[in-house]
Amino acid sequence: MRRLMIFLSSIRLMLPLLGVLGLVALIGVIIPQDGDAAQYTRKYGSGFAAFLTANGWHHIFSSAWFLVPLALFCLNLLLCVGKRAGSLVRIVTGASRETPVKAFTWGAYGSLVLHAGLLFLVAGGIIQYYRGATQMVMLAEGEKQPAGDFPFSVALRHFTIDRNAEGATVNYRSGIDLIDRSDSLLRSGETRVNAPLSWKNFSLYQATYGYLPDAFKKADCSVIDSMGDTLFSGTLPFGKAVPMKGNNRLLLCDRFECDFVLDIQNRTIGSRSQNHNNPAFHFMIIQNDTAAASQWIFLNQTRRIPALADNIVSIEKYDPAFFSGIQIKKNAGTGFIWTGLASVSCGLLAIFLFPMRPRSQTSAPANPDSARPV
Amino acid sequence: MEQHLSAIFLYAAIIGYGVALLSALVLLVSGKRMFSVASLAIMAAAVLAHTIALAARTLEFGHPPITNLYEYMTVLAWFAALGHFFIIRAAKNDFIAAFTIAVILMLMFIAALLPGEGTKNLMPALRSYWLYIHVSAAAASEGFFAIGFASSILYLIKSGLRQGTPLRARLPEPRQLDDITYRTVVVGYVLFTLGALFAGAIWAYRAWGSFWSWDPKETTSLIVWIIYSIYLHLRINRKAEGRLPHLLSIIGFLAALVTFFSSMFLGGLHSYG
Repeated sequence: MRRLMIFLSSIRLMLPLLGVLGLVALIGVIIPQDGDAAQYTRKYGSGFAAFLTANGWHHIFSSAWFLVPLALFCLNLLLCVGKRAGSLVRIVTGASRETPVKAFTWGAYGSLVLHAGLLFLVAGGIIQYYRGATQMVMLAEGEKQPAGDFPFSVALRHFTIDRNAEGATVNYRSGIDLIDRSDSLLRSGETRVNAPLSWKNFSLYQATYGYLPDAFKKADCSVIDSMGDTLFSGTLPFGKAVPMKGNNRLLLCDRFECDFVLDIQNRTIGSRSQNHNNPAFHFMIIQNDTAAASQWIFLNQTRRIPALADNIVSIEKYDPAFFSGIQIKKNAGTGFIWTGLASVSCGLLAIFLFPMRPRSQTSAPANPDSARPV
Repeated sequence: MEQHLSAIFLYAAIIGYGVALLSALVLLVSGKRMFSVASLAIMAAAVLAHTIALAARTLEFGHPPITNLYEYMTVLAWFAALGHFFIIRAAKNDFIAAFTIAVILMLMFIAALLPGEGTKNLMPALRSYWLYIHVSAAAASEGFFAIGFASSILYLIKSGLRQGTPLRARLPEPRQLDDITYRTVVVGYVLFTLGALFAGAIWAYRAWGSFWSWDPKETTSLIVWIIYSIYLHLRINRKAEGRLPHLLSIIGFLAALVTFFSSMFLGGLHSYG
C-alpha cells in the first residue's frame, strides 16, 4: 500500500500523465470538436468518422480519454501536495530533524503553493462544468424576455454602437434591466464588450447584435398631396401614427420587410433574407380610426400612390432597429479558479526567484554522451 | 509616413541581422576577432533599427504592434534579439551567437512573409489593456523559447558528434548549452504561464464569460505549457540528463510556432489577424 502511494504521488507517474494529456489535447486540436456525424463523414470518410464518434473523440475533453488521465493527474498532485505539506508541518512543529532552512526554502513553499493552485484550477473548472449554466437572449430595444431557467427576465433599454471620429466602431453597449418575477427591478446597468454586467453570481455579456428584419427605428418620410401641398415631412417612428396636415388624418407605418419579396402563389409578403437589401414599408392613412388607404412603399421610391389617396409618399432614409444578443452566464467555481490563478502565479515566482537548490546543484553536468531516458 | 518609416527600419533590421550573421560566420571560419566586434556592433545596430521600427509602428497606429500575426512575429523576434544580447552574448561563444542570430533572422523572414497591414481602428474585442499584457507576454515568452530552441539544437549537434571532431571542439560546452536552455526556458515559462495562459484566461472571462473554451489556440498553448512543464520537471528534479530535455525544448518551440499559426488554419476564437 505504501509503495502504491509512493508511486501515485511520484513524478514518474506525473510526467507520463502530462504526456498523455498533451497527446489527447493534440487530438482535440486536430479533430474539430462537437461536430455532428455527417460533418465528420464528409471530412474523414465513413470508416474513420464511425471510429472517432464511437470512441468519443468528437467530444474528447469530456470523454474518458481525457478525464481518466486528468483524474489520475489530480490524484498525483493531491498526494504530492499532501506529502509536501506533511513534511512542512513536521518541520514547523519540530517533528523532523531537518532544519527548516535546509529542507524548505522559499522555492519549496512555492512548489507546494503552485501544485495546490493547479488543483484549485481543475476543481474550479469541474464546478463550472457541472454547476455553471449559459443562456442567450436576443432582445429588441424595449423588449423584455425571461432568461431561460434563471430567476429573472432581461429587458433591453437601449442598444448603442459607439464610433470614433473616423466612424470606426469602438464598442457595443446594451442598457439592461434585470427584473424578477414580481416585476421588481433587481439590477440596472450597461454591458459592453470586455465589460460584463454582474448581478450576484450572474454575468451578462454583450455577445452579438444585428438589425431586426421586420422593424426599423425611424424613417425620414414625406407625404405630398395631389395639389403639391406637403401633408407630412419629418421623422416617422415605426408603429406610431403621426398626424398629417388637415382632415384629422394620421400616417402610420405598421409593417416593414428588410428584403421584400412577394410570394405570387400564396399572395403573401415577407423577406427573402435577414439582410436589408430591399427594404419595404407598409403605410396606412388612418381617418376616423379606420384605415382609409394602405400601400407598400420601397426606399427612395417617389411616385403617386393611388391607394394612398393619390398622395406621393417617399422614404429617403431610415434607421434600422437593432437587436442585441446578451449571453448570461451563471458563474460557479470562479472563486476556485481565482484562487488557483493566484496560487500558481505566486508559486511560480517563488520557485524561480528563490531556486529550490543552490545554483551549483541545479546546473546539471549534463554529458550528452550519457543520455538516458527517465 | 511613420508606417513607411517602420517598414524601412524593419527591412534595415532584417539586413542588419543578415550582415551580423555573415560576420559571425566569417568569424567562425577565419577566427579573426575583428569580425566578433563587427558582428556585435552590427547586431546592436539591427536591434536598434528593429526597436525604432516597432516604435514607429506604434506611433502610426496608436497601439503597440501586437494585433496581428505579422506584428506578433516581429515583436517575438525582437524579444529573441534581446534574449540574444542578455543571455547569449554573456556566454561568450561565437558558435551559439551565430546560431541564435540565424534563428532571429528566420523569425524575421517568417514575419516578412505575413501580411503586414495594420489598422488604427481595432475591433471592440481587442480594445482592452489585457491585449497588451497577454500578447506581449506571450511574444516575450516565445522569444526566450526561441533562444532555448537554438541552444538545444546545438546541444544535440554536439552530442551527435564524435569525440575529437573539430566542430565538436568549437561548440560550447554541454553544461553551458544546458544552462542557457534552462535559463531561457525558465524566463519563457514564467512569462508564458502568467501572460499567455493566465492573462489570456482572465481576459477571456471578461470578454466571453469563460476562462477556458478549448479553442484551438488555447489548446495548442496548453500543449506548449505541458511540454515545457515536463522539461522543467526533468531538469529541476534531475530525472533525465542529456538529450531528452533538449528534445523537449525543441519540440516545445516548434509547438509554439504551431500555436502561432493555429488560428490561421484551425479558426476559433483567436482568429483576429
